[in-house]
Order: sequence, then C-alpha cells, then structure tokens
Amino acid sequence: MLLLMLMLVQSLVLIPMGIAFQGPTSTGVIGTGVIEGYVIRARTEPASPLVDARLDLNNSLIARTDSSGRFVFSGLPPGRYRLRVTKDGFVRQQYPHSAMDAPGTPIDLAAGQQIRNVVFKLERAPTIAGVVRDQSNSVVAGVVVQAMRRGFNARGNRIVTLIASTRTDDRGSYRLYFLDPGEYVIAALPEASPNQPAVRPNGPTYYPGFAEMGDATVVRMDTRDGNGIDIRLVQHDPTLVWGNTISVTSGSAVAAQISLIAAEDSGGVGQYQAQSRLPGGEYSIRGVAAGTYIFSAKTATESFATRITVRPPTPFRTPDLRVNAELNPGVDVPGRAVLKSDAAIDIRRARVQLGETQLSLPDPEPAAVAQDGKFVFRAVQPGVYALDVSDLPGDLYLKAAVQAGADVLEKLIPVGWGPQNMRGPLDIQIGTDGGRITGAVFNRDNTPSAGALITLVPEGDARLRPDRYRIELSGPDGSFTLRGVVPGDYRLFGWDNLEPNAHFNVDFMRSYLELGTPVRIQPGQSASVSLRLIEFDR
Amino acid sequence: MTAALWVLLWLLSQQQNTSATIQGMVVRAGTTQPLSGEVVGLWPTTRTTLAGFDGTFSFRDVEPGQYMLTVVRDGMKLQVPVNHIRTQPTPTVLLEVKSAPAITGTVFFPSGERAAAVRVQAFGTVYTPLGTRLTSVMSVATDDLGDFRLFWLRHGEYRVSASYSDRDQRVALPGLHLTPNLSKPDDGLPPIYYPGEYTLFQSQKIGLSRDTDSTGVQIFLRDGPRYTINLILVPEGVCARVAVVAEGAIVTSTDFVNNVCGSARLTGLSQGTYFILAANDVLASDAVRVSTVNINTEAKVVLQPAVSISGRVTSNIPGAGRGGPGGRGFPGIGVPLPGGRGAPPGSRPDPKVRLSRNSLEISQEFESPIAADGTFTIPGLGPGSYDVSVQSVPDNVYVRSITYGPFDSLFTPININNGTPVNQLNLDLAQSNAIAAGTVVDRAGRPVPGAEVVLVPKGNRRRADRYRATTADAGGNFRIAGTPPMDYAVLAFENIEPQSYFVFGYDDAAYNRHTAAAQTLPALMSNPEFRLVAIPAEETAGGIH
Repeated sequence: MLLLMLMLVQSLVLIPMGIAFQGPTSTGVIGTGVIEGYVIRARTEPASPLVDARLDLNNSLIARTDSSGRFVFSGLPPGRYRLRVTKDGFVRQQYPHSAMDAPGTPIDLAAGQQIRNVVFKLERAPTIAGVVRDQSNSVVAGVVVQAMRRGFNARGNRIVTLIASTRTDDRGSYRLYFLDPGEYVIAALPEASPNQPAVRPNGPTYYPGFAEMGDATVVRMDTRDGNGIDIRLVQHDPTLVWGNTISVTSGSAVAAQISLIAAEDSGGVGQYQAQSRLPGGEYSIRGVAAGTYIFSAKTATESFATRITVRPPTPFRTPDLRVNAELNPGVDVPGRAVLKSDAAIDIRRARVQLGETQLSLPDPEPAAVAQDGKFVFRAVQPGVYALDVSDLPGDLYLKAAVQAGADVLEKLIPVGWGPQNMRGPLDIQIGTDGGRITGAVFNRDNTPSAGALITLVPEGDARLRPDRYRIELSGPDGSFTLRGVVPGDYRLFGWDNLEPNAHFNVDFMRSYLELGTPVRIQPGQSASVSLRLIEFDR
Repeated sequence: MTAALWVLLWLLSQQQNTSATIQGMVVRAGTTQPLSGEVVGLWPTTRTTLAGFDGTFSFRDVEPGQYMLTVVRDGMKLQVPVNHIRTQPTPTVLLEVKSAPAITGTVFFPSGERAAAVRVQAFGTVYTPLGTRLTSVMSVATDDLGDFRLFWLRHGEYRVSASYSDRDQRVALPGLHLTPNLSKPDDGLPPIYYPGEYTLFQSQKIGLSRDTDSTGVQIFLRDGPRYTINLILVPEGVCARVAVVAEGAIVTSTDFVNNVCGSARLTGLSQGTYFILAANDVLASDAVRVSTVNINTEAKVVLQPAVSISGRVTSNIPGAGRGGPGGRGFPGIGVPLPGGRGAPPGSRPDPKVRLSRNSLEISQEFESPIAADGTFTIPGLGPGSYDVSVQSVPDNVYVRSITYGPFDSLFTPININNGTPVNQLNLDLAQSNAIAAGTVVDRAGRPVPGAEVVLVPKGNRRRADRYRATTADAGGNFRIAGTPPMDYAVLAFENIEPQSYFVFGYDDAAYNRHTAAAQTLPALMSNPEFRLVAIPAEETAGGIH
C-alpha cells in the first residue's frame, strides 16, 4: 500500500489516538532541497524492498516507503538534518551508519541540494520467547518479563539496559520482540499477590532460574529468534534492611529520607523508600528483593550514598542487612582552569566533571567555568573521583591537572569530609597545542568506508582518562578528522559496527589491540593515518 | 476465571483406603500440576471439603451411591460423576480443571503484514442499577506475529476491536517498556470492530463457551473515512488540556494529553460518538457528547471553575482508633473485619470516597483517601452530576446516609454547576451484624452448587451497594454477612451473568415478577437457615426478565 506523506511541522501536534490536532494557523517554510532513497532488507540478493518503513528527519518530518521501498523528502529548506529509519521487525538505524545506536552524522543540506542515493539495509530484529513457571511447575500469568541487554556505559563499566518488557498471559508465555542483537539477561518479576498468603513469595528471577543476576545464563541474539527461554521462579525470603542515620556534623541522629534504587548495572528494578525517625534515627525497610542497590539517605542539608548488595537469604544467612548512614553536607571542591594563549579563547562552554569511580554512585553536578576560569563542585560526597573535561573547542585539550602538588589525571581524586581531608583547589591546565589526526578508512576491496566508527584509544595508564578517547564517524568518502587530541600514544580503529561505549572497556579492547593502528601525537602535531575497516562476523 | 472440568478415573491399588472414603486430586488439565485451595463438593449432599496445597482432598464415611464431585470456580459450576461402590477399593479421582476460555486471533495491517503492538479490546455488557453499559473488559496488545489472546474471560458474548495509534500503544501496555525498534504509528488507523466495522454497535458478537477457546478471530485494519470536529473552548482563548474519548471508555488522567488554546481542529476521527472533556489547573468542563454526523462537526466545551468537594466520613463502629496494620484508617474502618473475603490482613486497600460521573456512556471517577479523622477532599471536579460511594470498606459496613449540604444524596446524584453553591459532603457509615445464610436447592430438593444468591433491596433499588450477593459453594451452601438495615427479597438463581441482578434497579416488571413469591429478610434480622429454591438456568437465559 502506498502511504507517502510529508508533514511540515509548525503548529501541527500529533495526538495520540490517531487524531491530528491542528492549531488555528498552520504555516511552514518551504525550500527546494531533496533527500531520497530506499530501505531494503539487509543481505538479500536481489534487494528486497521494505514497504511502509518510517523515515524521520529531526523528529518532525515523516515519510514512509512505498511498495518499491522508496522514500522522498522534498521541499526541504537548507539546514542540519538527522535522518532515522524504523520498520517493525527490523533494527533501527540513523544515517549514515548502520550500527544501532551509533552516533549518526547529521546531513548539512545546502539550499536546493539534492541527496538521492540514501540506502538503508535493515537487519531483522529477533524475538525471545518462553514460559514462566513456579516451583510446582504451574504456569504463572501476569509476570513482568524483561529483556536487558548487556553493554557498557560512558565510563566503560559493564551495565545492563532495559530494552523491552512484557507480561505473561494465562499460559505463562511471553514474547519479547523486535530486540536489538546482543547479549541479554532475561528477568521475571512476579508481583506480590496480596491474596496468596505464601510464606515465601516468588521473587525476581533471572533465566533460567536464579535469584542473582550474576548467575544468569546470558542469551546471545543475532537475527534469529530465541524460543524456549523458560524461567522457573525462585522463592525469595525478602530481606530486612535497617539501620540508623547520623549526621557527621552534629554527631547525633537525624531524621532522613531513605531510598534504595536498583543499581544501573544490576538489572534490577526494585525501588524502596523509608523515613528514619528520631530520637534514634532508626529506619527499616521490609521485603527487599535480592539485588544490588544504591542506598541514599538525605536531609535538607546533608546526604549519604553507598552501594549495597542484598543476597538471597539462606538457612545460613540471616534475612537482614544493617546499613548505617553517616550523612554529611558534602565538600566543595574548587578549582581553576588556566589557558595560556595569546588569543582570548572562551572556554566557558567546557564541561568539567567529577566521576565517582569506586561504587558507581551518581556523579555530582558538572561545574560551570566562569569568565576567569574558576569553577567549584558543590557538596561532593566523600569518595574517589576521576576528573573529566570535555567540550573544549578546536584544538584545545586537557593538558594537566594538579591538586596539592599531585597529579590527578593519571591518579584519582580522593574527596573526604573534615578539615584533615581538605586538599586544596584543582589546578587545570588547558593546552592549546592539541594534535590532529586526519585519515581515511577503507573496506577490504579498497573502496572508502562511509559511516564507519573511528575510535581513538589511548595506551598505557592513559586508558583511565576518558578525555583521551575519541569516537567519530567517517564521512561519505571514508575520511575523518580528530581535533584536540591530547599528546601521547594511541591506537586508532575503524569499525563497521561497535557495541556502544565498548571502546571504553579495557577488557573488551584487549582482544582487538592488534587490529588497531599505533599513532603517536606530539604537541601541535598533525598525523595522517589510513585504516582498514574491522568487520564483525554476523 | 472460568473452568471446565472432566474426570479421568483410574484405579489406585497401592493405597489402602477404606471403601467409605472418596478421595482425589484437583489438577490443571493436561498436566500433573496441582491446584490448591479449591472447595470440592459431594453432590447431592451438602458436604464440602477443602483441597490442600497439593490439590488432594477426601470425603470419609460416604455411603455407596451415585455422586457428583463438584468444584465451583468464579461462579461456574463443574460437576463430575462418581460411582461409589463399597466393595471395591476407592479409586482416586483426578479432577482436571481446564484453563478459562480465551478469544484469540490475529490483526493485519492494510498491507497484509501482521501488525504488532496493536491494542485489542474485548467489550462486554456490564450491569448497573441504572442500566447496562457496553464497556471494555479486557485490553491486550498484539505481539510480533500479530497475535492476541484475550484471556480469563467468563463465558458470554463479546465484541472485539483493534486500534493502532500512539495512545493505544501506551494505554494497552501500562508500565511496560516498548522496544525502540517499534515504528511509531503517527496518524495510526481508526479502530476496527470485528469483523470489519467502524463502530462498536455494528460489530458482530463473538460467543465464548465455558471450556473452549474462540480462535481464529482475524481483524484487518484499514483506513476509513475520517471526520473532523471543530472544537471551541469557552471562555474564548482559554488554554486547557483536552481529553477526547470514544463512548464506552473509562476516562483517566492520562487521557488529558492534548494542550489546546482557544480552539482546535480534531481531524482523523473515525465515525462515532465521542466525549470531550477539558481541564486546566483551575477550570474544568462537563463531558460534552459529540457525534460525527457530518464531515465537519462543531463542538463547544465550556469550562467553569473547578470545584473541590470536602467532607467528612463518620461511623458508629466500635473500636474507634484501632486503625489498620499501618496505623492508618480512621476510627474502626481501617481494619478489615472478619467476614470479608478471607484475604490476609492488610491486603485491602485503604477506604476511599468516590465520585463517579452519572453516565452510562462513559465512566470517570474521582477519589480521595480518608484521613484518620474522617475528612477528605476531592478537587478538580467539573460541572456534571455525580454518584457518591465509598470504596474498599469491609463487607459488613454499609453507607447509612449521605448528605450534600441540605440534600439527601444517598439515592440522588449531586449536581455541580456554575451558580449552585458547593456544600459539605458528609457520609455516615455503620456496621451490621445481620446474617443471611443457608442452602440453595433445586425444585427436587437437591443442592445447587454455584448458585447465585442475591439480596434485592425492597426500597429504593438504584444504589449498587445496597445489593448483596454471593455464590453458593460446592455444596450449595451460602453465607452473606453484614446486610444493611432494610427489607430484602432473597433470590437464588442457578446461573446468571455477573451482576445481572442489577436489572431490578430499572426493570420494575422483572422485579415484581421475581419478588412476588420470594422469601424475605426483614431489616436487621438474621436468618442462618434459608432454604432457597433456585430459579433454573433456562428461565434466565438471555438475562433476567
């Protein structure tokens, strides 16, 4: 069926319910630019078109493919456009790159420019299906089942991300469909039923039947469906988490707001709240499911956070966990960013950030850099932090950072409470002589590789510094440019497909180091590199 | 959940049973998984026993003869014959309970492709003392194969719809996470009612029997004629959030998604009747009914200052201050008193005062929890007429009186409108210890397991919470505790649709016919030894009339 529309967004609001709202006036700017192309099924010969795929420019202009898989956007004014495609049953893409979730390169459309050769080759998005049963082998209806994909966060830590969830039907069966390829942990979350006075209720269970996510069997999905992923629910004795909240400044108990939130890398979904009461500052939280949580306690002026692991109780392990919170107002960490340059360069848009490294606790707010280069991180909780400065313009880079005479780039920054832990301000030096790397990436047949992922990965101790990494996309002619590269030793890679943020993970990269091209950058130097595309087998 | 039951008899020789015992096990059909906690009856006696956690049950000292082992589940009666002969070792009877029937099928896009994440609803008849309403009783979403399964439905007749839009996807899968690879519906497609109609009332009913799935229901989505409503908000230029719902809908806060200032054109509507409501932080409107007769229809929605109704719930229940397990609940009400449904303590939600729009075409409810001192406030009410009720109180507590200022509002809805003063809403609750209990028998004097016993108020019959009903157990026994202090006609029916006795609220002829010779329960009296003769199922096929 031909369903081809072009909607200009001005005051058109799409109402959920299949009704369109239109305001009293509806005007749009018209240009003469064109973006058109095809959406086809990947790895089909001859190419099999996908009908009714949805193309989306900047989240506002929509077009759909016709019976030959063709789409067209016309009448486009000049500007910057992000082009995305979705089609039920297939993995989404953003132009020009075919890897899901890869940063797309926006199209800078000139006035009247016509781009006519866009081709999207979509891969099938697989389904995971199975049945959920309890210990007596009865099917269980109404259980929430989640597909959580293993991946990495921007610090290179392993995390799981919820991709899809659903509920089992009366036969206990579920289908989690249109998933991204990757590695999955499947979790079943039965709801506590008030009408079933079972002493040990069923609790969160990881495929095929474990209470802790670390024991789960990982399900690897490419394009084929995974059936028979059956889960047998485990009974949990819920744990009691209890303790006291004390203020470090006053030395006495306080009444605080307490929350337990499942940690990002735990795959759990539990959230619990409690209030501690005076005079003893006691709190208790009943019925906590096994898992890893971020525990936080807050008053108006002070807070405390830590990471706790609740293990499933056994006959040898008591079902309670004591967590005492020492609330403190946090420490202000001041600093100054110094830039030695003749030209006046505005670095106020730079982001200066502290990342907590030990317990994966939430990071403090980034600090804003003032005109004179001064900044301050407010109310930072005690912990060990890594410094990161990003969004520096042009060839600027983070050259050095020192606190109390000690380097804090290769080493971490400890923050502690109390006068004995004051270590003085952070002195950050911004270098203006960052290096540049230009180059091109080629396929096996020596044709240029457009839309390839280029990653710059530092060697040695510098691997702990997020500011040293770069990721870019190659252009239509396979070329790329990296600016503001911190002088040092690197390996450069060009990938057709890379798990998002995987290049930050040292263990992951270990097996690919040999495939990278070594590059050394001196201050102010430009290097030119030619790369061979690394292809992942499907 | 409905169940159908059929017996497999097989001899068990290793067990030494006395021949005076009948024993068996309740299991899920087709498996050996036991079903726990079912009440099993031995018809035509009134004996019952409770199957254990492992599904096993036994009746001792049974005289030889013909019996029916009976299980009653969700008002459905399942009977299996047993021939009990003393001279032989008693066989173990396996009662296989089938899953409740479901309606299953597939939805297709106009292109012929299977349609994922389409909202499929089953509409059934819901009875109220003011009339019947066709309303959505179950809502699911299709999977990647376009398949849907509407399950746990009682036997009866249903209409099925499929609708594909952004809002439908959010509403059909509450609290669930949709994969990012799902394409957005954008304009979507109009709801299609099986087999292919654009409106609910033209659609074909699907009959669902007690023990067999209705399969192969195919719905082909297609675009259709779209209508436009030109919406004008009054006063001119006011900005509000607008909800547009089809008839039969349940209006919730998530429906108010559209921000409109002054006026708007609602395009892309399919044919039918809609209700438009508007509200912002200070104003609210009535539910305005609009039918798409012409391609363009105009609708004016008037906003008035939203009304907040406060009041107090009082009670004469002893044990003031007991509160519930959490220490909450105002005097005497927070604790679920014995005589409830046997749910564990603390499982009942806290009591609430509810105002429901007095309408058979849409449903909108406003609720407020009740503070420890009995006070409550319900904000944000638009003009209209509302019924007042209290939710989640124990079974033997009833609403004795409701006053709205000088008005008695027990049987009359309260009216909110510009110009009418806002009054204090006071509810008085009371506890009753009156009991109606006994046995239901057929015309031959044999018990009727699973019969529906109904206490029909003899006074004003238009308040749902004045009726009391229960289902007789597997031995034909019943017990209703806490009847409000009014005269009741006591009726028993072998088999009726859920709550279809509310027809007595508006059908006087049916009421007179059935209660002329019925037994009665006078106000505040208890009668634990009723012997009711059930009205046979054939006489109530198609409804009580």
